[in-house]
Amino acid sequence: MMMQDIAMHVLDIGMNSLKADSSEVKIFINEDTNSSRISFTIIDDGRGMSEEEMKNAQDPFYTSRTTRRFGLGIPFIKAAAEMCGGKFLLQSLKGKGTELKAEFDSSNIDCPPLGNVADAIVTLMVFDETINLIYQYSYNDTEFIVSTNELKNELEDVAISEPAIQIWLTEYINENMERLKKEEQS
Amino acid sequence: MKSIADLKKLRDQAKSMVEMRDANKEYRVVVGMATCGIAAGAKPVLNALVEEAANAKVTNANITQTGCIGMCTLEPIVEIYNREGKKTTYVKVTPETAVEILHSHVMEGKVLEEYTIANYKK
Repeated sequence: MMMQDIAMHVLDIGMNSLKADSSEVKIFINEDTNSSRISFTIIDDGRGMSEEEMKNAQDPFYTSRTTRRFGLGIPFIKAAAEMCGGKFLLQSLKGKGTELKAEFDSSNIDCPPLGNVADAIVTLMVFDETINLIYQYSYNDTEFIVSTNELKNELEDVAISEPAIQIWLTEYINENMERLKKEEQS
Repeated sequence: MKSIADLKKLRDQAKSMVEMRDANKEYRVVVGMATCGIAAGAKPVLNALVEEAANAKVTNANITQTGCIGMCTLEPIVEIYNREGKKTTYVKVTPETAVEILHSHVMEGKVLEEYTIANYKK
């Protein structure tokens, strides 16, 4: 069983960052049509990993309960990226945070579709609203940014997880991602 | 085109709809959203719950996510806790059964026995 699309990987890997005592998590998704590259980068300021923990995180059979937060997620994304001529990069500093980057060659037949990224981002945002999640999407040279803190300023004491807000937010992110693609093409 | 300013209107609507603050809600609906849950289709289940809660104006429940519940082969799993902390576990949930569960359990207060783990048959 594998993840169906890139958005599902973002959801899965993003969850690791949210559970790592982070106060800020940044998610960058970059589509470059000229070089046919799709990449995502997730950076957190959480507890980070030692060299050994990083090695274990990439081993699908590593199941020690104490670091169970990795599960199969990292081996999955590593395999998915490498299978389609992409790259996988994991950097971490104990006590400082972790950065994970996966790059895909979108012209490769094995490249998974991008999927519903807006949906994944909203799910991550509502998972823990005390963490500032910053999402930046770039399409060639244009970009769009949204963050938990910016939304909270408008929402005051209403939670992002209120169903009506979640639905609005997913549409808001989707519309803006589509807008960048259209502006590029025109 | 939506803008951040629209949120103010939604916020005010949400405020008028929220019967009590979150901590006092009658039910807590939890979807397992670890690698196992996601790969098994937990995301469409969560979406179905959130959309139906918004459509049917469900205000007595919080819909949240958790990590691995520990029964990966039975994912997607939805757990519903009542105010006393009593838990009902629904297994192999689909977006369709999730909507049924929301209507029966959360809106009418009736446990949907046929989808619970106790009645799960291989």
